[in-house]
Amino acid sequence: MRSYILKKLAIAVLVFLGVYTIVFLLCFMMPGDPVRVSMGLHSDPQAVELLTHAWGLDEPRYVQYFSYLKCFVMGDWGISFRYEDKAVLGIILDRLPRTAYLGLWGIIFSVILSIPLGVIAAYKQNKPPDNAAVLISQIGVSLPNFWLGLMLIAIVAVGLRWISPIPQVPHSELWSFPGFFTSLKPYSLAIITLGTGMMATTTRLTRSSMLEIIRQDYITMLRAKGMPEHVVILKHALRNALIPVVTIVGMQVLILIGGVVLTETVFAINGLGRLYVDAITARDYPIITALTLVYAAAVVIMNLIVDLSYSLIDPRVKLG
Amino acid sequence: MSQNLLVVKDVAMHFHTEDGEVFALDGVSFEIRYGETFALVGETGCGKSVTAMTILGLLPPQASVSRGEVLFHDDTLRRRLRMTGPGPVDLLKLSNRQMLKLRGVRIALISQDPSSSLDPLYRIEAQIGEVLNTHRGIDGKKAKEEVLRLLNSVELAPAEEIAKKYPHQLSGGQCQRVVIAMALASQPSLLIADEPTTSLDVSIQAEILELMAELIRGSNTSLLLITHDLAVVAEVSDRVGVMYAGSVCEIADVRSLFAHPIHPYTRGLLAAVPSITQRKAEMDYIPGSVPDLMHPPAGCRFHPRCKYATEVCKGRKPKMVAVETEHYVVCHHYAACLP
Repeated sequence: MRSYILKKLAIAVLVFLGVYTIVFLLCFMMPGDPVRVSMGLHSDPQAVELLTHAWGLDEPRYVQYFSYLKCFVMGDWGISFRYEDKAVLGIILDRLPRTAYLGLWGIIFSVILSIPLGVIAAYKQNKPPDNAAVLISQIGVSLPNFWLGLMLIAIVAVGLRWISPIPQVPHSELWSFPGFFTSLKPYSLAIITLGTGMMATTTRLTRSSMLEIIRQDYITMLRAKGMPEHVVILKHALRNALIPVVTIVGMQVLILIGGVVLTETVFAINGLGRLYVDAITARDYPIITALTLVYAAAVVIMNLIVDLSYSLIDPRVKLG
Repeated sequence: MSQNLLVVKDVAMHFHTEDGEVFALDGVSFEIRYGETFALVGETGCGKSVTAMTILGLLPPQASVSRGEVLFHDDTLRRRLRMTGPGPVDLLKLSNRQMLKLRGVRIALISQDPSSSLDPLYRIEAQIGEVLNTHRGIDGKKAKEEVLRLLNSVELAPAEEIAKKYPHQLSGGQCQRVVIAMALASQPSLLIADEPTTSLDVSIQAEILELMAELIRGSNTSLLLITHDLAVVAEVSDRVGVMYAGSVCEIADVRSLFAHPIHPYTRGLLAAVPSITQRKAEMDYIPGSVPDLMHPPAGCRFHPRCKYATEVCKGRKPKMVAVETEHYVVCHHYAACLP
């Protein structure tokens, strides 16, 4: 187990290095110049030169590559081009709570709905509950989440005036008790927007996985042993069926990163997703690089959690 | 009182499929007596396993039983169902809830592939313990002791170690012993073994059969052995029912059946067993092939392959006839086949 985690961490270092290199190259291949974005097209050439020098952009590229890498490893993530004098790390930490809150509840929303829905659908295969579940997930998969977000705002927030279209909660409150739960209401539209697509995918997967398991010999044997249906389905079939579902939920964290960008833009939530978009518009290289690496870290950690949870669910899996 | 434990009477069953109805069982009748081993033999797809599943009420949702009775003479079951008065219980009339008081308690199943008949995610002790808890209401330390006793009774040693293992850590033979231990945990009056040795190594088959025979001998449990292996039938069973294309064609005492089979299908089946003492240039086989059960032949289902078949076989289903004590045959022309 420990050697497994160490091996994964060694691979993670390589992943980070690769991601860093690619982002670095992409930044320089991107048209546009952060100095020009910052100062405008018709600015004083001398001032442009000064700022270019101040940001270190006049150095040869390989020098920039290594010097930023070195600083990054040392924990100095630099200052943002756009929000001058603000440390990149500080900006990210400032935005992180909102995105993490939205993402976590998005996953909870999707899992809480999709697993029961998938189980019921499989258990009542080809009957009305199954048809309903298949229809719901079909709709969920087909709805683009930015459109869903706009519709929810138009109907629930603007039309019915049930809640404010923009969740206004100080981020310090999100991760406190009872703020963690009371903030659910203002965030609900954003959470639904983010979670619906995931919910639909997970429902379909849970359904097909359950159908596969229900056909297995040991399910028939459990029934022949006289086990009541709730034991057969919930204790045995569901646990077996969840193995592939765990992988997909883990991988959805990747999809979530894309979803967060759209959702935060629609709901004007000042989170990492919007920061990303703004940073790219402003050619804010330090933010782009740091944020991409943070995302890469999230993916690596999530994969590790998925692998570890395998070994918890399935005794046949030995990590090593 | 009748000495029959289970009477299957003229059961017919079909599956609804997208392509049409599949008439899987058509008038299956046989009985199993107290303490005996009754073998049901026939080719793959002849309805042996489906018969077992019908008895247990575990047919898939697309199956429906159109006629017949499965009468189970078991006082313990009557008590568990709070039924008063004597007489058998028709298992086909029980609700799913009522079947829970039967399955695994009064009728237990041993299935074909032992390594896939245990849940891969739970330890052996948990899987046996679950049965003990559900049917006998014991748990905790007492259940642990009982699990060890059961594992010892099926000669799995060291029991403490086996109990802590997961199914994938055991061999096929060991898994089958676990399944047997589980099946016998609540001392059922009928044990259904559906091809219990088919997926095991030949060397282990005999061991498992012997173990089963030994365990049920002591407990007055009847055994319904479903197999296509005639050697197994000859070895362990008391009486035999031969199935062809969804119906029973001959029922006899095992000696009588092997000594003088009457039904043309049984004769073909027995002749097809290669013998080491009489080497032949060509193997015997039954001409033609098993009928498509979506469009089964009218009359006797065997008539298209039968050399004795006449017009009457095409039109009318034969009835079961007793040709001697303990030997029944379902054939219009049995007289021509008598020894």
